Amino acid sequence: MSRIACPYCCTIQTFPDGQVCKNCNETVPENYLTAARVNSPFYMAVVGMSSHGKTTLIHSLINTIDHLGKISRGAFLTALDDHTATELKLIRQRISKREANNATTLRPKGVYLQTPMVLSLKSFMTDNRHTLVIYDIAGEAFSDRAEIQQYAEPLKLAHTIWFIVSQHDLTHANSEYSTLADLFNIYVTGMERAGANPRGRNLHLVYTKADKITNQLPNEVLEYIRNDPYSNLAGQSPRDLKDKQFNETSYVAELNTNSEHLLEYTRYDVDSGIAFINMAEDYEMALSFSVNTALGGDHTPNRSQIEYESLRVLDPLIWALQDNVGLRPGRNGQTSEIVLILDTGYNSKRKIYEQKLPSHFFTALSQHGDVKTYYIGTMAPMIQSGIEPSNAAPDNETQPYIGMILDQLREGTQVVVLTCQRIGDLLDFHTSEWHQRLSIITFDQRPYEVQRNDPWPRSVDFDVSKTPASQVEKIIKRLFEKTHG
Amino acid sequence: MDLKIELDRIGFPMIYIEHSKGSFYMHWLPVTKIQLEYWLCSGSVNVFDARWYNEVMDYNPRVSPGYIKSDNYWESFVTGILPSEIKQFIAWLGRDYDLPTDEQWQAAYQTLKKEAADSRYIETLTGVGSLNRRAKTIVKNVNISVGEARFEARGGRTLADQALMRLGVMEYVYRDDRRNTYGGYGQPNPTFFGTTETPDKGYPQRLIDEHEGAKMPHYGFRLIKRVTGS
Repeated sequence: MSRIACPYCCTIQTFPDGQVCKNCNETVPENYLTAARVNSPFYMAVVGMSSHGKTTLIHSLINTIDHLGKISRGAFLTALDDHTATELKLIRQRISKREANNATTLRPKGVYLQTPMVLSLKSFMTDNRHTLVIYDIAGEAFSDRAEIQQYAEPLKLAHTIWFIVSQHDLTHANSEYSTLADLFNIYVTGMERAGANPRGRNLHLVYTKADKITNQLPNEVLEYIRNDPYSNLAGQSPRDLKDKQFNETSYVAELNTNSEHLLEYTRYDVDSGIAFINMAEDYEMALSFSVNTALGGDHTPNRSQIEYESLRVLDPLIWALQDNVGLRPGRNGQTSEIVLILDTGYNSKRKIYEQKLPSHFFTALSQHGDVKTYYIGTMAPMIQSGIEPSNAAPDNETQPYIGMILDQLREGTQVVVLTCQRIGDLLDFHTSEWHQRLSIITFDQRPYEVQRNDPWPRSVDFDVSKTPASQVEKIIKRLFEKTHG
Repeated sequence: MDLKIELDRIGFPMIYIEHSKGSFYMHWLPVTKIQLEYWLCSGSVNVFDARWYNEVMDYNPRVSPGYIKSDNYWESFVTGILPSEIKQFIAWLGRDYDLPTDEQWQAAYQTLKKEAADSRYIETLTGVGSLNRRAKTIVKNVNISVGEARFEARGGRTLADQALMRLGVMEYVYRDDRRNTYGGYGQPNPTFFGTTETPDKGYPQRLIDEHEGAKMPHYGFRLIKRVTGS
């Protein structure tokens, strides 16, 4: 019943024909589909201009993830398709031979987007499997009006964007974009042109090639980079790492502090850094920062064998995983997240899905913010945020509970529940602030009673005999007036 | 005693118990219905549908955290469940989790029993930043409710009583080191279920079918989490 995006062409569908995508005819790996039915895959767009170290970072990161089992019990990485398996093999070979990356040999001229890497990461930061789909998009594509259309779909899907910047190359190379604000501007304009609204995304700025800007970075940041306990994880012995097991709480605390330092660095020491921060805030993006060096030092084309000393390459991934598992707090007061929860019970087919209410409510709610849709009694959204849910009734009934959804939402999130049955745990939230933010749409010709003669304050009865579209619009208008009034 | 606390993947508290045969974390309270609901809604279970859960609640209905009182607090906890069903919940929760052995349960009980009950333990537990909000309400309200409940155990109220190892529910434990047979430790509130069982007798209650257990209204469980490396 889940709607899943094809990782290759990004078309969202239920995969009615088994594993074959109805749009691009690619066979989607079964493991990917199975995992996606439980937890929404995590789509990451890695965006950066040529020579800024994007591909080198991805390769160094994958080489590090490959060895996460040394510091996180039970962790391992697997490729979910043949292309990714081949890529992984090449990366491993290249690294074992100590060959430097040469992006120009990896990517033919004019090809700005490579086939995505589809990976499964188990037992790191949660006991679950994370399905990661990584799109490596050359920054140059964004400046080309025709070109960017081809990359619109991955950009629409990606909830987290890694914005890869080599501050050294930005200021020293003969690039037409010489400041951070220039780069950001070209990206957001490109995204808007492609119909991928950048508003509300997680933007993670990754400063690469830290070894080239040691004279610019604050001392605290340099100290943080140099003290990476997992530098060259591939080369470290598991025995030596026995006492350095990954402690999520302390690592994330350091990561946050470092991000704060880098925010200050960007604001005060980076050319047009203030403009970049202001623009990102204007787009309501959740901004975070990290810094790393994938190689640990310079390498030149005439020196094909290099000693790798990767430092802090894991950090962007940890930021991304925090976003994925909902660990990262929202930006208080600036959120416009709205959650739509759909009943899956017996009566819902006739009263909700046949009336096309998922579409109607999604459209009306989208006027007020970024809408994420869940089926009742599920922990993961049925579809990525901002994408219209299907009007097809789900095949299976889920449990009539919403607590596990509400528990993970950030402060200020508005929730609308469409239900034809009793919600088993609504009473848990009866004495909480959810009174102001949770609306229940019922179909029983009376408001929803939490207990006998005790109606939920934001409860509206939906009249199935009236035209759905105009009725939905009125209901949402009224509910949002109530919220802001 | 300083409580060393860890949260399970749902955000419910577990406390550190030092044990000569390998220290472990143990749930502060028996596993609640809210924790079970997370599992039921995780998408990883198909067999355990709404009908199955309604049957579980027929044994012992559900109370919302904000409505916990001295005459219903046991309704927060999962009972009426089989060990084989518990094992599926454990598999979802994570590889380091398990039911305690009778020895581990008793070791935890003896450790906690040495300390007098104190509200600062509850403050420590509820002060953990990433604690699940509903868990926080349960920890607070159960403590208040049990404090109000008539307490007949000898020796005054201890930390073990705050952790509801008495006046809670009967809890499944493994009876053998190979983890094939089950017994029960605990002492339910007599208003909930009358029994003469008490953990002070030092051995677990025997079950008629010690391999399968049985669905019983007063039988629930709490879990341990092995400390990595021990």
